[in-house]
Amino acid sequence: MGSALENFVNQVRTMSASGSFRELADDLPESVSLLARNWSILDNVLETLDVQQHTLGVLYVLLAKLHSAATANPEPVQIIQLMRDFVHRNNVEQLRFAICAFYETCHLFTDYLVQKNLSILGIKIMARAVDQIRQIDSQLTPIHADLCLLSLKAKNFNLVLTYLDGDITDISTAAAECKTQQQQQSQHTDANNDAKYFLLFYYYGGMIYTAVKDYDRALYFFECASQPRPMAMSHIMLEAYKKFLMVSLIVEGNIAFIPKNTQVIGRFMKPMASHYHDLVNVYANSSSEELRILILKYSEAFTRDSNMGLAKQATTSLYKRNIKRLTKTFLTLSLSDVASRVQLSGAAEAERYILNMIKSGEIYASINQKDGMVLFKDDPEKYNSPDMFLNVQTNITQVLDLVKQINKMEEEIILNPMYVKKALGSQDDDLTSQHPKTYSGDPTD
Amino acid sequence: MDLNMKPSLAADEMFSEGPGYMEMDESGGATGMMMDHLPTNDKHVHADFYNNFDDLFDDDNWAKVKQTGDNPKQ
Amino acid sequence: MPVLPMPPLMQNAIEPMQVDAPPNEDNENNEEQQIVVENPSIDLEVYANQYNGIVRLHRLMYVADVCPVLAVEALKMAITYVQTTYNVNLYQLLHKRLSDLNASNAPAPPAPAADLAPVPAAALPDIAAVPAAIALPPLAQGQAAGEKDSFAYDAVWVDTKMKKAALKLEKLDSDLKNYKSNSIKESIRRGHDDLADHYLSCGDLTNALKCYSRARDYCTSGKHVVNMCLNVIKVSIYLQNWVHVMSYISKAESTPDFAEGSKEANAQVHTRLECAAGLAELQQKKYKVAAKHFLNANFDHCEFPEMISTNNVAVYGGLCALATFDRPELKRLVIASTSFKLFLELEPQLRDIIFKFYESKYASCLTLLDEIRDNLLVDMYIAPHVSTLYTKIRNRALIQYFSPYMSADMHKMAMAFNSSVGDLENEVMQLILDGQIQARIDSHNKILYAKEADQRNSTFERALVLGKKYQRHTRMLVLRAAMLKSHIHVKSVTREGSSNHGAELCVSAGSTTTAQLARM
Repeated sequence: MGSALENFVNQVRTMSASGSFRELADDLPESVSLLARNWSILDNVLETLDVQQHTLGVLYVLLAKLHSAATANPEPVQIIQLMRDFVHRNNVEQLRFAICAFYETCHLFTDYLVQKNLSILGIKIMARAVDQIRQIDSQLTPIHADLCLLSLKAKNFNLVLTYLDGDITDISTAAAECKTQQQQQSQHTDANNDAKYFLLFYYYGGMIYTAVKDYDRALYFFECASQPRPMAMSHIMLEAYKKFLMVSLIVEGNIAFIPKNTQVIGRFMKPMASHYHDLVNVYANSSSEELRILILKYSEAFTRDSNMGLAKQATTSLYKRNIKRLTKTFLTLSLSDVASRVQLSGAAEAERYILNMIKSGEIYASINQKDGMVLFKDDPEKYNSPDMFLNVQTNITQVLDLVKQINKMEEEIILNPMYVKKALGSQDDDLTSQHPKTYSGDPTD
Repeated sequence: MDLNMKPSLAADEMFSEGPGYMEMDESGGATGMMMDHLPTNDKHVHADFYNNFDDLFDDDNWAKVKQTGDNPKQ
Repeated sequence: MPVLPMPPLMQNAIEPMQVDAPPNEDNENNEEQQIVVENPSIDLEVYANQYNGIVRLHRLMYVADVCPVLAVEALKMAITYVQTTYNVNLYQLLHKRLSDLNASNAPAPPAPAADLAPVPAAALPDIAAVPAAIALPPLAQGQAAGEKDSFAYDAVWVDTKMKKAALKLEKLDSDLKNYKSNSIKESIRRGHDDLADHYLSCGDLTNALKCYSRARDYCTSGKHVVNMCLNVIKVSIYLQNWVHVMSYISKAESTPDFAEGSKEANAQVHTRLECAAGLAELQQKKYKVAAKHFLNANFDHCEFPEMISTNNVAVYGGLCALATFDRPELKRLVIASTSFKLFLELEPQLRDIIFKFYESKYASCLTLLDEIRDNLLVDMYIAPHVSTLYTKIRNRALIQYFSPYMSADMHKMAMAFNSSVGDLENEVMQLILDGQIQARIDSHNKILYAKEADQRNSTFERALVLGKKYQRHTRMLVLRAAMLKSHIHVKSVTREGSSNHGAELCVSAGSTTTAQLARM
């Protein structure tokens, strides 16, 4: 036993010294079970390795430690310390040879923290891990989902929001990494994991935005979670779909963007989310009373899905939406008329709603206390302020940047040899004889 | 009988998807068929994902939690 | 015309509930039952005589469906008329309906006339035995024997008619075979048409349609093609297949002969097509287009009792125009139209309505509209649209009323529209929300103020929203491209069973990449 471990250490040291990282990375997966079996003396092994010089070796020891955590029951503080140390001091060049193992280590570490209720301690570590491993800022990795999960559990969103706000243009997947690195390990992980971590990122991300009440962005994230082509019904997609419907109501008042993949939605999700569809339908009637009754009726299901809070917010949003409709049609209206038109309990509650909405800038109005009249006003925005000018400018710049990006992507595709071959090939079949000259000047020929 | 052209016409109108969406999975015909052929319960995946959170969206609860995330937009 | 057997009907009128209820029960077909017309002021005979063929029967049956007061009379007229055709099935159906109606009517007045009471009781067994073809006393128990006979179920008639129909069918069929073996195109075409005519007379619409459209292959001139189209359109209207109607109208219109021929010669075909198009658009709720088609009809060439009456053209066209045209359009296309004027002469009430509307006398316009409502509801083609059209007309009136004002007193406005301030407030609120009236309500003082839409502001607003939408879409597009590149899709678990899916993944990955690339 001891000698086997010694062999491991020697292998790591020699191969690292000679710079044979690829070979080392290929060999190491075989050692995982050996290491895990020797969980009790792994700390000794760690002492013989240096994170900077022997990144791959340390990574696998960490992986083994996390794998055996259930039996070994290590001190959480020690694990966290090890992980923190690793992500801060490892050698990224070496790490790139074992991306899959790194992803797996991070997943296990996250699970461990969630289980120990120590999520808050992992946020910074996972953020650092993401920074290390992603190749560009707009690349999504499987461990983004871990960062989101820890933040959600810890209810701490400052850091994670900086990772959510940017757009994703590229995705790193375990399947792709493992293929190039020939790491067999991935074989027993589900091939659905890439889709899973993708979906989790957008699902958790949507939840985070919902929690901080950035509903537009939340809606976007939940919709992204409906994008992958489904050949099966994913429960993550289903939950995301439920929240999508809820947030849609809160932010738009209806279902503005119907997610794609209508077939899966129609056949699998709709029946499983029927309560939510009922809610959407009732909401469309604009009757707060009906909505309240329905939510009461389904409260058990909503609570089970942890969506009761969203249901409550939907109720509030309907009151507000109805009040907003009034501002479009009335110049003056008594508080009690407001209450009866939007089905609030009375003038006092109507006043409370209106005051809140004035405060948050949702409506422009003033209340005459003396006769209980509300005086609705127009949006004072005249689109002539420097701020608005700047806003428009920013929007234009953003749009132009996007256009540039699309053009760039198109160019990449057009220049892709495979595409060229395909494009020419398919036309060759039927057009060779007719237009032989068309391609004569083509540089790719 | 060629007079039955009407249903197809109506069907086209009914199923036309609104503009704005890029139909990226036209070959999704395959998707569709696979979905149809398999019995319903085999087709559920990702049932084991972590989703055990407190209700983060209940404003009543939320008020109690320390307001950590300051709203990034406005 | 058979005189209405008044006494029982009068008694029924006293207890309308029992008259209303039975048709709902025994008539399982559809939602139109919701319409119940109490007080139409039409002369049924005049009404029915505007049409012939299937249309007359359909219309009479519709009246019987929706209007309890006229049901018996309508059914009787239909029975009389159906006997001039080969439509035995319909004859039997109509008798069944009539007997059902009588059966439900008869027990309704149990007490009032002591001397009448035993008679219905005696009549009941007879009614129940209708299938056995026992003479049927139609409702008018104790009436003149002559009338009794004319509406008795005539089994002999049914029998002979069926035989005759079969014989005629056989003959037409063999004629057609003959023509076919001789390959004389024109004869074959006529043979098809004759056969179709016969099917139509028998009430077999599907086969009629088949035969009419088969004639297409044997058309030798544009005129024949147009004729074939007209036949198909006719039957499609009976079948209420409006999409079909529209497509054959455009077929007819694009026939070279028709398109090039002189307007005069084609005037009748033209008007027929316009009317058919109007009808089809009306049924598809495209009211404005429907109005325009009807307005194109030429009064002097509008003679198709097997499809639509001139009165119908006036009413359908007038109402649709009123509901959808703006003021200048109404003036130019309806009021100033010399040709449509002739149609409107036939419907003086509607003409008044249109003029009152144009003169902004909304209260009397709306009152008049209410007066003709019941008469519209017995019309099978316009009835389903009456309430929608009325709402549109009322809304249009509200919009027009307010259009010249900067502010309007809602008390006065309510008076002009025969409604209360509260109801008006709700109506106007809806119109404002729909963007049809640019105004705000001062509920405190009950004044409606016009609100000037700031084009500049709303343009900015819309541009910003659009920009955001574009960004959202494009971002999602970029993401989807990345997803395709990385093969992110949810696979089904059952497929994972295979041992080395790693390899499998690579293979499929490669092939999908090319496919995706090609697609993009």
